[in-house]
Amino acid sequence: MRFVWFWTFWHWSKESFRYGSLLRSPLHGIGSHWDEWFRHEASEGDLRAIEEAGRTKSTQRRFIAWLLRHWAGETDWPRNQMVSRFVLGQLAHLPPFDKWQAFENHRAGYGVVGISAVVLGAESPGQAEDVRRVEALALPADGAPIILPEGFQADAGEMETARCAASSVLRGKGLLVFLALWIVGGRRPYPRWLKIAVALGWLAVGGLILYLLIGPEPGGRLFLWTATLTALWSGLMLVGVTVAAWHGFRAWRQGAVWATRMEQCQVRMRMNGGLTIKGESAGLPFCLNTLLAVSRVEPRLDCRSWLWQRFVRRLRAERDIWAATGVVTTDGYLRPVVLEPKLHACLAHGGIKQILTPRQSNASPRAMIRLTAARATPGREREPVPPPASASRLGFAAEKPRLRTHCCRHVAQAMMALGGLTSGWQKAVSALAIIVSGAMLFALPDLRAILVPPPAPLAVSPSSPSPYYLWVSLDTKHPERFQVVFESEFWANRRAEVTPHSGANASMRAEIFLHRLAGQTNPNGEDGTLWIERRHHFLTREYAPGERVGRYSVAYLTRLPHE
Amino acid sequence: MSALWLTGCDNGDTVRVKLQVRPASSGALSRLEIQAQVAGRQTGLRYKWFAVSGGCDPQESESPATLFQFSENVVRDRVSVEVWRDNTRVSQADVDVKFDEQRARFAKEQPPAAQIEISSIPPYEQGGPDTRAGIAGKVSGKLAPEYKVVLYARAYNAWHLQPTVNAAHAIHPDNTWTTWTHTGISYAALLVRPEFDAFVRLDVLPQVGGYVVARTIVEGTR
Repeated sequence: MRFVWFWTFWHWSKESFRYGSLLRSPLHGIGSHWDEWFRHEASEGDLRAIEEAGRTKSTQRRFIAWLLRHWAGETDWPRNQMVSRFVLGQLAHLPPFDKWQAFENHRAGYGVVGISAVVLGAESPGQAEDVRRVEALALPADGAPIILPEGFQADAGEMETARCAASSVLRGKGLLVFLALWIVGGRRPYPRWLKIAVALGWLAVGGLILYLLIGPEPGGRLFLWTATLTALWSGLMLVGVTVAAWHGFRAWRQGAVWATRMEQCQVRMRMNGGLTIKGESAGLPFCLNTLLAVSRVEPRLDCRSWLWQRFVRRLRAERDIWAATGVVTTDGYLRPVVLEPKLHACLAHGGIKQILTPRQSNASPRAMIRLTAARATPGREREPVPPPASASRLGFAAEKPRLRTHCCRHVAQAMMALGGLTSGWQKAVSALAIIVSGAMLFALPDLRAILVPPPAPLAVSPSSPSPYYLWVSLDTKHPERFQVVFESEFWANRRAEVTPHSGANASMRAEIFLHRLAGQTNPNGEDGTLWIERRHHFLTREYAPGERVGRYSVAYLTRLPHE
Repeated sequence: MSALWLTGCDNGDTVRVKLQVRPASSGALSRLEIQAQVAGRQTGLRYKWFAVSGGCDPQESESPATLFQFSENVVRDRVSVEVWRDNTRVSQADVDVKFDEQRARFAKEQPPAAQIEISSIPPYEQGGPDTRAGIAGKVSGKLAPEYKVVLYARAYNAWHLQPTVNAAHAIHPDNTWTTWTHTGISYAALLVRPEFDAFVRLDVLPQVGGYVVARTIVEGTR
């Protein structure tokens, strides 16, 4: 067994904690425990072995590698890869490791840098140093406080608020906001061809709606067009709903796993500089780094949710160019902060290309351009150049600002920006889909009547009690889908709508006023055929009469009961 | 969603038929006009007519009507129709028909010596459904207690049954009758037997004979 001395220390620490001689758990108190053991408990043999391990940089590295690869696997938290990093970070400041060169990297931090926080120093107008790297580690809680600042002082309530906000976006209202934002305008995991096909599909649906509304009379092709429209829309809706539901479900499942993990962990937020933070504007970066810390617990990204995976991967890959500021509430909403000095700090920093801010007026792109220009030419803003008197005027295109602001109302919006999930294309497609689907929902009864027409109605009582009228009462619940056509050689031809009538003789009927034709040849007063025709509508348009689905004689209708 | 959407809708090819029997317009008592009232898609429908002992003319038609002729000495029959679309029978219906022996007997008999007159004549007006006036009259001669009075007013160039489509007016013990009517340019009163089936709208009023015992026509009061 290699590095027995470290096992000796570890078991001493565990046993001492078990018997109450040490107050803090072996992991969380590893720094002070090591100090105690190294100074007072280590045997001569152990000290010699430690000295041997630290003899050269190579042997030091071997110890670090062993700690990272093997020791963590033997502890109670074999899957938490942050434990080893924490232990290395803690030991790096203690003898004899503080002299070991190989520990140099571990003295500055845990090597798990996340998104930077912009925290202004006292009286600072916004300097590069105000952009502060934040590291977040999720360790097994072991009864320790669930969120702990390291390297700075902060109000416990503020830290807890950031943790609650992170919990909200993992499995609370914040997650719903995140999913809603993604559904409305978020990038989809489609291949390019499918993305284009879906957009073309929605355009086709919109085109078909316009064609049916204002195009030429479709005649016999009405069924074909409406069937195509309905099938296309249903297919697109099915794809959209399935994708949204599937990824929403996976995100919810993954969020629940991470939220549970977060409850069982202690999140250590490390920000060097020894600041005592006043104000809550670091809430947003703390919240985002908490999410990152929770996702880092597993050795590999074990995420089965495409949404979370994309967010975490992008956050890990681009953490050096992102900074954030904003007061966060427990349910994930962001409140305005003092912004201008922070933007100055980011511009002065140079490495920061993107900054997440609350939605406020001085965070707009226009304000950013103004700020960039003011920094480039200090004092120029105060001396506006009068426009030249000549007719021709010159225009200067502003340079694209080096720092891009992302104004957010909610942590979920910040996650959308960080994960590169916001998509203008998808927003346009979604807007088209919403408009088209709204029209389709209004048109559904019309489409149904065309594709699956209501049954042909029977002519029923009551008939008209007045000899001057002919009533055609139909046993249908859809009077608007039928009309009556009266054709006769004795009476004037009529076309009448079927409408609901209430009162003593309530029915769905067409009422036809009979008017004898002048100069007709047929002397039969009961001559005439009443045809029942289908009516087809689409939203505001009524098409030419559809097929005939009933044929009745005047004599038959006249002799139906009147009540 | 689609299943719910489709619920409650029947097959679009369903055709329902009901037969109606009327006396033939020619007046021949042994003939009846059979008309089919058809609900369902009308495209491509053909009608095949059948009878048990009588005959139909035409026996196959594109119009849902035929003329039925009773066989000699047969007073009851059954007429049926089959509705075909292409080579498929999509519906059928039948109706029992009965020779109107009573009417035949009345037609052969001399009508009883009875008269009807209108004593209170409504005004001469173009008339129509929104008008109203009183009308009264009396009957005389050889009367039976079940006789009724049927009234018509002529408006819009046709006779309309008054005042409603199923109206028949009883005769008072003093042989008078009274009711109201929509106005018109002329008025007609028919004294009829109880079996009389009045047409609601007519171009020409029925002649005396058969179920009609007496008839009078007057012009409206100017």
